[in-house]
Amino acid sequence: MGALILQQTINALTVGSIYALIALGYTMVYGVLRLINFAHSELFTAGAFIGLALAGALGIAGHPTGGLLVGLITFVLVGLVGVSVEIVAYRPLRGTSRLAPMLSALGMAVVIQNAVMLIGGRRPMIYPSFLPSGAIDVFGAVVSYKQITIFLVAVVLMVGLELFVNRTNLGVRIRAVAENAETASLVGINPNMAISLIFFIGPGLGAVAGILYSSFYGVATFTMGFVIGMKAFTAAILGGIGSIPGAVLGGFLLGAIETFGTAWMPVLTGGVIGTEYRDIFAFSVLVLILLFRPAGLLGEHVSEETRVYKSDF
Amino acid sequence: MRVWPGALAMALLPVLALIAGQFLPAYPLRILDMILLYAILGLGLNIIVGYAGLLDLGYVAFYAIGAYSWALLASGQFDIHLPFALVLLIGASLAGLAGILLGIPVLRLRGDYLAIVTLGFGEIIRVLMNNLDGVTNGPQGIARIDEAHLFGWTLSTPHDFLYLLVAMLVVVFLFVWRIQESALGTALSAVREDQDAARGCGIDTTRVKLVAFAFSAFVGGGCGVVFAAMQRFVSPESFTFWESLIIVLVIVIGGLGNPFGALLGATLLILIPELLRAYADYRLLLYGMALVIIILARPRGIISRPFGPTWLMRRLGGGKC
Amino acid sequence: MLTFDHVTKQFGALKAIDDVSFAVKPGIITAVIGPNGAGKSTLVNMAAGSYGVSSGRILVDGVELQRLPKHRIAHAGLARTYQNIRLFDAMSVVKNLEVALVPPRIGRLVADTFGLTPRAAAEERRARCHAVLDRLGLGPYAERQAGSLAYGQQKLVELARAVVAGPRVLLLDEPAAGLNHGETEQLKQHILALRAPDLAMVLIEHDMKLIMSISDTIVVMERGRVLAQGTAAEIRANIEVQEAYLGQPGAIKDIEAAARGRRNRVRIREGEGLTWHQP
Repeated sequence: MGALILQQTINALTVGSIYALIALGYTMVYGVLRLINFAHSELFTAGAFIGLALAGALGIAGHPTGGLLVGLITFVLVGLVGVSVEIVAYRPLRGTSRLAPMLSALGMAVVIQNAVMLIGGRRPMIYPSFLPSGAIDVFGAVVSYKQITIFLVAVVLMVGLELFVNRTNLGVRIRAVAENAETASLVGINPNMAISLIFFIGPGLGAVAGILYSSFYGVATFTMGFVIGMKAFTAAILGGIGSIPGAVLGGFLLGAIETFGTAWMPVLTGGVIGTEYRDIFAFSVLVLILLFRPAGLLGEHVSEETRVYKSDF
Repeated sequence: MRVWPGALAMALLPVLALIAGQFLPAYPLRILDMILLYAILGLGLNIIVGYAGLLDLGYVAFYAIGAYSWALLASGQFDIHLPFALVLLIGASLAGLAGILLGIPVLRLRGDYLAIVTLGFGEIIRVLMNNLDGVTNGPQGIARIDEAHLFGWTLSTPHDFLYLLVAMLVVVFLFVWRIQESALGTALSAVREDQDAARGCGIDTTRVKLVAFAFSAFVGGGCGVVFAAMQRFVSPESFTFWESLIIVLVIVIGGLGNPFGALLGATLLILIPELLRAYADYRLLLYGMALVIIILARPRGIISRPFGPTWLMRRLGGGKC
Repeated sequence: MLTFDHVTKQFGALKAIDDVSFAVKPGIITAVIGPNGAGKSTLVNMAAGSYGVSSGRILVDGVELQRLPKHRIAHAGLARTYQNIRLFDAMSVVKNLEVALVPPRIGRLVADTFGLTPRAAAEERRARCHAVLDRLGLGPYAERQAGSLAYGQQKLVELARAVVAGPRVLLLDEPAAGLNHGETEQLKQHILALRAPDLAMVLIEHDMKLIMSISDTIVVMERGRVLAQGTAAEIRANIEVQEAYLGQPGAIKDIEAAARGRRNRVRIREGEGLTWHQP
């Protein structure tokens, strides 16, 4: 029993790491532009496919050190795609309605997903693992090196992001723009520069998550981003949208809810609710959380009017 | 102001559709039916997206609720065979009720959450349909659904449905136009423009949004019932996220908040893929690009908001309303 | 009548409003003045429900506003204008006013949609909007898009939207900000014309000339407290007294400057023979 719970905790941390990495991209974009970047989930998928193509091209499939190189290049490539998407599809709409950029984001999501399909094919691709193989036994739970690596990569990236945002000059600029783009531009910070940076980092992290995810499950499909993206956005809301630590917390929390929910729900309900409902636990939880804590777990409770609409001071 | 010139101009469209129905062979007629169905869906979705300015990405869920209502209440599945008119009402009401239940926790929050929660809701409904095998037959869906009868009139050919759809379109069009012109429409526009200032003016924004959401869901449910009656087969595959997206595209491309826009958008979105059949694989890619390009070029759609039926009435009637 | 009863507002560690009590009587115009950061806008935003109240009560004719959800505050009889214009830009001017007259009951709203309520009611609402617009000289712009009007006209449309429902309390948050001399004069006439026996008007302004010429009572605030309250004449006299004592000519200009947040702040101290509140 203890081993089972430990095993599930480890599984939860693995899934949670991936959710958290993707959620960061959503939360940073939303924090600055109040935009749900629907294209983000497709950049996650694109990351997995680009990683695969790179591995093929460089002839380093299935090799962990090669994986590091592939991860880095993919981060940069997908980051650049993210920056271009913002410049082409979102920037011209800034300051119009709030609906227009969101719809444009939806359009970009469709475009990217279908581009991936046209290049990568409709069928699921067998994915070579970039992660070390093997496993260790911890008090009866099987912990694979894959899981350990995923968790470590996620933690390193998250700590790196936190340090970047809080300790570096560029990071401070991003925070200033997130706080108030107008004031930031008054003190000489170019909001476009900060926004581009966010659209580089967010999709980059998402792309790495894509490689980790596909390496872990051994498969990549062009439609896989949709549900995962939805869940990662849920994680971002859960933690408090706009908050970086919130996205991390939300990601791990959602991983835990899903893993334990999927494992225990059939037992608790006598098989009525089976594992096939895995994908909808997230939303049930989301609706519940929103009922009781509208701003998420770590979100500041600011009224809608001061944050989202024209403020009146 | 004279009313008849505007009314006549608008009556022209349904009349044309009916005349076309007399000459068209079965296949193009089916396409015309689909255009009408999507136009009605667009009109319904417009209430929440176009008027209230809230993005609903799970509209297909209400459509599905309607479709499964007819599939379950008029088929051999449980050997229940209710009349079409009754199920039309039940299906639409169930969808409206689902809209209220979903809206209560969500609509008092920031507008953006609605997009993601409705998206999730659409998935929940689809997952339920896929997995409640005992009720919905799972992925196989429900076949051999009853033929619909409406007041002694059998609805079986695309030609029969044309009459029904034209009638529904007229009713929903008038309903939506009425919303726009009534106090509810004024309140919804205020919510869309500046929710906080609307509350300052005494608008109970949460409830107004809830009513709009329920009306919108009601129309979606009704369309679902007709869809199931037309196809006489339903399966979860018909109710994916893409379906929701296409309905959003119908109103965004046609013109947000403009009933004429929904008609134009539905025509384009159903006709263009028919013309692009040869490029099946590129279809969605082209859809996506079209969406982005149209948003960038005409963020308000092809026929923008002010040029709706009221404008037409004034324009042709000469004088003020 | 609008009453602030021991109202306090805490923003984190900052006490933006500190135990403020005063009443605004109907039939007259009450101005609230003070330098930036004195808490004038916070007071308005609390009364209108945009901010919560940390402690104390805000009442309109005995109804406690701080307990009401924001939209009910309008129904309780309080209306406001905004410092930064907040019109419904894409809607016509007359529709902007109609928003304030939307029936509060949701059932009524639904019935209205299905045409179950008398047509006359809607027509009467529309007529009322047109009447107010005509009064403020906005008649010709009724069908124009609100966002397309000139700045000064938009300010007037906001005023019209605030008064159309016949409020008991009207909060005007810097109505003259950004207006030129002629527009300010016009605004002044409109505000004076709106004066009614059962309407309590609160005016927050930086334009001292405007304040001195139209307000009946003035409340001076600084650092979240009420510093002084008196008639316009008393406050003016007090400022002149200070000029005499302190030998500072042009103190009124200084107050204006201070109000705009410049450095030369004039401290209004307790004056002799005047009804100053304890700071």
